[in-house]
Amino acid sequence: MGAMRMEQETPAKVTHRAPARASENLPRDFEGWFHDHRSAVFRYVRFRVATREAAEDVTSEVFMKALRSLHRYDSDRASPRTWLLRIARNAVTDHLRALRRRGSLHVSLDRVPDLVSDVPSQEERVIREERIQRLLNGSRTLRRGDQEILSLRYGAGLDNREIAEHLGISNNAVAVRLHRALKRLKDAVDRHNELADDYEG
Amino acid sequence: MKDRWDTMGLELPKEVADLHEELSSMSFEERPSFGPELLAELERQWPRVGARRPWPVRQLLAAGVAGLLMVGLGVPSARASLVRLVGALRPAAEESAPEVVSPVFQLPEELPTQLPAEELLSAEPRMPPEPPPAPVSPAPYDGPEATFPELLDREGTEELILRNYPDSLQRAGTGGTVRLALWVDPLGTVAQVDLSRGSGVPELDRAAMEVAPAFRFSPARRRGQSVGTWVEFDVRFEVPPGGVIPLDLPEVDPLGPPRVPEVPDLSLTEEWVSNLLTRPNDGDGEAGEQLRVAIDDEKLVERLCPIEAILAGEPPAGSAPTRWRSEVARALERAAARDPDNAAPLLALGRIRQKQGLRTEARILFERGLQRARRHPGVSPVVLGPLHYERGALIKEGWLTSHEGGRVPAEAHLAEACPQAQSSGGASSGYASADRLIAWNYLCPRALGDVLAEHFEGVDPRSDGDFALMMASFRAAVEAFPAHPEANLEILLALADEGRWREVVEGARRFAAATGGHAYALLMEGIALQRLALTEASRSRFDLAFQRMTPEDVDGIRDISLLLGPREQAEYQTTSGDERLAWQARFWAPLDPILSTEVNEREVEHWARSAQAFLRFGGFDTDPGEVWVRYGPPSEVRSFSERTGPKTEFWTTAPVRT
Repeated sequence: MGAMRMEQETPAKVTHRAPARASENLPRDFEGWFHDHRSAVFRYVRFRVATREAAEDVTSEVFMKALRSLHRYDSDRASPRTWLLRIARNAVTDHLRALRRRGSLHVSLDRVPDLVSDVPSQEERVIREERIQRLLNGSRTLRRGDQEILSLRYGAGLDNREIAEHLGISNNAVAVRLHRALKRLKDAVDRHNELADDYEG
Repeated sequence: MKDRWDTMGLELPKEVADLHEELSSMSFEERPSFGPELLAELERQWPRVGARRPWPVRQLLAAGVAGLLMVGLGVPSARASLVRLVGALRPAAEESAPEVVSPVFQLPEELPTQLPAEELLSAEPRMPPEPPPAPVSPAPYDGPEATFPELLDREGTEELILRNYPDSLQRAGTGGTVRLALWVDPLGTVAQVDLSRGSGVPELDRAAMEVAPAFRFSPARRRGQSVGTWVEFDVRFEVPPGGVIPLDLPEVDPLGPPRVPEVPDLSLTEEWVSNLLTRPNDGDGEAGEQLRVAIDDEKLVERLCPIEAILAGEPPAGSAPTRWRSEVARALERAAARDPDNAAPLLALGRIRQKQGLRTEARILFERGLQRARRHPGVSPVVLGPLHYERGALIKEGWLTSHEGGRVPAEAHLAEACPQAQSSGGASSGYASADRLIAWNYLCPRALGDVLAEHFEGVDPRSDGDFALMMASFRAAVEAFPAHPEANLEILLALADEGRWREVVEGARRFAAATGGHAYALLMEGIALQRLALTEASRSRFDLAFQRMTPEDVDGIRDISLLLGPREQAEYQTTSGDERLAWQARFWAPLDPILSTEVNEREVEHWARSAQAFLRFGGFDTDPGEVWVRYGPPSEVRSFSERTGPKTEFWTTAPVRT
């Protein structure tokens, strides 16, 4: 509340950026993992769930679970990122399961404000975001293995070698599985577009 | 990332290469405050969940419950569950259940003094504010562990929902309940809206989602500190017994005169005329100043300038309109948050949203500005008047397209009278469609006229509730700010459509007195005087009006090209200035019906038609304006009900006067 009071007194001068600081409370390792991998976890999750808010929920859940099970982490068995992404995979599964009980997994196209693409105009941005949302919606119709590998690659930003390590399979197998997943995604999106065309036409 | 595939030494098959590129270029924007927020939460949790391990089994359950309570408000998903859980567990008699059943509108001055920029509806991606840095050593806290968002101003919110209830559905008696998930941020504003369970009627779902950002809550608190949380919220659409409730305007005769101070003497004295041509007072300067104060950033205003452009929501020449509007909208949101007593930013922002086609948001912004003005009587009339007017203009826009019209159950009659038209269009529900009527109008105009006269089942568009609401808004605009030109004009044009010419004269004189002789006021008075057969007085008003208008607009009103044949028209078009005036004088001279008077009645009649067409249809060269000028005002207008597309109207006009 102190910062908010200050903002009230000098509204134009206060910047909102939270200061980078070393935590005095968290285990040092964990805090490092948080800084290094939070973004990858968030993006991995965001690739799988419908909205930024849901992705924040799930990402929070991931780190909270990780913190609770920190004593169970075994560095010989997995890297911190692999460990966190596994927790993320389970958290996403839980989230989607809960959602299926509630209703749709998809989000309407006009509410995807966090998708970013570096194009100049607002109109292009809207078109681009719509396309991206279609891709994401399409990816959610794929089997879970395909979704997993696509979100590791295009969400978390892992390269094939890292994915291979994460999944415990060969680089070649990753390339093949990714190719198949991409192909199926393309089919799903094309199918959706045809349906949309029929509907609109 | 794009290159990584290649570094594998594998070539991506072409069929999916584009998709790979597309996916690779995609990124997700994290809320800037999300990381710090989560880190602070983890730090708070660590002493509880980490330091005590391994937990004795006996304590596990109790700690789990405590953990849930703490995590519940710290982690969004858990917050939502907790809010729902606790909401369900609360006694039904308690009024402030977090699972809110019906909605409300928080009025500005009851909000925290530092309103968030996200207070306002926005089409732009919104960034919730950064949280304050977590306290390093939190002070001891004795209050409740957690409290939950509570809806503020239930009555106001119900009214807001009602006003966003689509008219067509209200009329059809279609209601329903839409369950929304709302992210109520630490300042109590709704920052995100999700549909939890639709009503089964997409329009209702959409209306609920559009109105939800205007709801206001007291924020959830964890150990006394405001936090964001999800709440579930049922928006119920039910038609009230009395129909739609107007914002805060009394039930009055829609066309009654505005309650403004009377002009001492409405007769046309020399003194009054000489005082008329003073500096026009449209209030833009003062409103602009208020906006400047609210924005409180000279550099920004200088960059987005001029302030009048910001106030009008019109990008200045040379700027990129979309980008300009986005930037101005963000500045206005901040200004509205910073200066909660000032309604000018809401006015400007509403205009921008309107220009962006976001009419519902625009209307909510104007109404929020009005609510703000109601709570802060210091809001200047130059802002209050335009807020009323803009709201009325939006209602008018909806009314023009959605009001119910009449119909002709005369398929059989017409088929008999006009066999040629058999193949054109079709009848719907036993009534003639507008397309069919248009075809009949071409093929058998006389038969159509007879059938319309005999069988048309008319519905007066003015009986629609929105008409009364819109006129009440225009009146309120004039009452707040008597010099508002467009609001005055709307009232005068509506009176003119009713043929209430004496009231038009009185209104126009009040309007002229308030504005120091606005050209619209003088034109309207001129039109009314001509309709009252006071042609000489009418001409003097037009002469005064012409002094206040641009040469182009004067030329538009005096223009006679519609009355000329092709050859004369070609010649006329080559003229300009005095030469054109002389041409017009030569044209009108032989048409003067009463040579004993000083004025040419036919010429003044033409000005009256042109002026009314200009004001009524918003410019010269409009199709209905052309008919109006050629044939005079219609003696009867029949409007047809059509759910989609523009309304079809059939006008009956008196024979052309010569």
